[in-house]
Amino acid sequence: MQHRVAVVQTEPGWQLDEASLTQRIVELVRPAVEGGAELVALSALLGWATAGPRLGQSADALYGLEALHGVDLSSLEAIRALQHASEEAASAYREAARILGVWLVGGSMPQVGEGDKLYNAAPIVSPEGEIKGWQQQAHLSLAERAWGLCRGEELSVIETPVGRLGLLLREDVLYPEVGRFLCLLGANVLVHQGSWRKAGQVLIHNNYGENQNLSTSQAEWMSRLWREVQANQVFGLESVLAGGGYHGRATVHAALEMTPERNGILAQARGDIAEEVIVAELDLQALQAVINHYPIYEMLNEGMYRRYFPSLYERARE
Amino acid sequence: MNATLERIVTGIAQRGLLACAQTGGIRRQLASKRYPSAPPPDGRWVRLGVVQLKGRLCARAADYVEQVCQLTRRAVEDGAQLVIFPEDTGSYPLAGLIPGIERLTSGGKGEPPSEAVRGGSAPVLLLFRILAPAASQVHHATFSTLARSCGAYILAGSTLALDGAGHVYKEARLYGPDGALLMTQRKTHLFPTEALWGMSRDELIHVIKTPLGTLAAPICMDHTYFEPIRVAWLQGAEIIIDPAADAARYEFWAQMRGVWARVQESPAYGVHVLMVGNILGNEFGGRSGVYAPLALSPNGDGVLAQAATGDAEEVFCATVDLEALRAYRRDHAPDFNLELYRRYTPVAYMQARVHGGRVVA
Repeated sequence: MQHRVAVVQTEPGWQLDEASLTQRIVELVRPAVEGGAELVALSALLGWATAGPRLGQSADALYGLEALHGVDLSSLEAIRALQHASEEAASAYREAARILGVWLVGGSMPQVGEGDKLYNAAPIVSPEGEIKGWQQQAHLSLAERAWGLCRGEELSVIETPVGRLGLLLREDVLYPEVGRFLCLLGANVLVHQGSWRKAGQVLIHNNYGENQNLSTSQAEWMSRLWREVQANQVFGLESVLAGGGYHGRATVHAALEMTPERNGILAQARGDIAEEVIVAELDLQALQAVINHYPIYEMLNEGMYRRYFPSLYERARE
Repeated sequence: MNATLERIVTGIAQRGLLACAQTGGIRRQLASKRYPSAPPPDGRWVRLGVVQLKGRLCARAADYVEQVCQLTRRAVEDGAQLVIFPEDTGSYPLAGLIPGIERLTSGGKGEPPSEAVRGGSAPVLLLFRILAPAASQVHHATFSTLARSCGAYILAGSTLALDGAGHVYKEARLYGPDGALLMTQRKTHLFPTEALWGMSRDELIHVIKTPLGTLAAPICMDHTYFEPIRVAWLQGAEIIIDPAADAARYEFWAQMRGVWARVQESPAYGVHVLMVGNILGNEFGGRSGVYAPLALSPNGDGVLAQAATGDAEEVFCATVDLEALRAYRRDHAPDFNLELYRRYTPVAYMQARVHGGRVVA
């Protein structure tokens, strides 16, 4: 059984309200859905779009979590503004999913939790507009910590008709622990929402000869979700922000053995700075065959992990 | 063959092979040569010598000693302070010491040895048990002497190690410039074929502080998993060596799944050193390389040096900067989420096992 998925590479931009965010998603994604996509992965931070104006950002201000810089998150006013933006983003995702009749992995958005703690989190929404689960970002950059974000301490695997989804938000992809735990918990599709400021050179990826050197941007995406997908033998959907100071390439990853060029790529955006939606077919039976032939998880060494984890992390922190 | 008879026959065969592997002859052979001297450590720059060894069956220990001696000298002549050999350096080539090895690995069914070995019908474990004491002895005498003669550190790839219960391990060995055995590392994650043969795995990851930095050497398949490399890294490893032998032709993408990927997760220098050549019909391939986190490589691709080919014997060197790595690690210290890790280790691993074979479809 094959499932068609779409992955979005979006230009960032602040939105004034829920209606404009809904419209933007529907316009962007509709062609892919009409082409048969059952699930669409939206870009990182898309759900912060309505927060910017509420935090005093002008429409042309740099897009991103930098909008939190200087915001006093201990003030009730700021938290309420973010709470409101969060509700708007969630409503926009629910409405867009209903209009399109598709499963949506919402781009990450503010989420205000217990004790008014602020998280970066992403929802998974059914075609009926119901939120089926959330994932909070579990690892933060230095800047994100300084801006007052909190990190999640729990991972969710969310069942959809396309597969069992595990989400890696931003920095999480740099920590192999997250992808491994999600896959041990049953995920067979990892979804990564990336937003990377650093630009790499545009790569030429149609000539992987034996002596081919890596181009910078190729090395960058290989060091992120590609690496996780190969290590865990799952599918990978990598949505990105592109343009407006962000660079990246939306990609659908799979185990090397499943891809025609044996490079682990089922589909990839043509460039790394413009808006694109890519589509690919996920074949879970073919993935199962790869795992049966080369069962990486059967060779896991639990005795070793029990001996060292998590105590070694604690000792390293000391 | 019953177990008692097998033990007796194994013991006789082991003693026979040991008699052919006298270390005195090896030391005399090596003493007759002249050696370059490795530069002393300066605490910052480390010159790594990578030996992409062409494996071939050696019916005489002297042939083996000659080959690895020449390669070590080439590396040290190019300034190597740490010379690195691949997995199975001290096992597969030395299987040639067993008389009639090709016939013995055919599995008794007239299969080509390569198929019998891969498919598990060859008595590989028994042959490894017979070979291990002699291979270990030849390997130790050779590399201990070479390290002392050149004043170099040598990661001598892996050989076979037996424990008291007859379990067979692949064991990497590090020798110091005085010839002392400084560290051993047994393989902790087996390739499925090795599991099929009945080989054993260890649960320990060792690191050692040396004047050339803190070193670790998990073996081949270990680098398919982030866990052993994370363990090495959390214990301070700065140069993480992957002695490997892949019975497959070189493929760029497949190779990038190994230590190159691991040092992006756990920032360190990574050395992937591979065996090439044909042993008992099994074609070994791979392009050895010295890797770094993307930000520490001149082209931003994580590659510091690579072999020119994926199928020929080569020796090449690369210099790594320990101070640059230490500064990078200070400036990019990870923010581990201990609460998350406490929640899922080791329970997530155990739950996955309890659920049986992995089903994704």
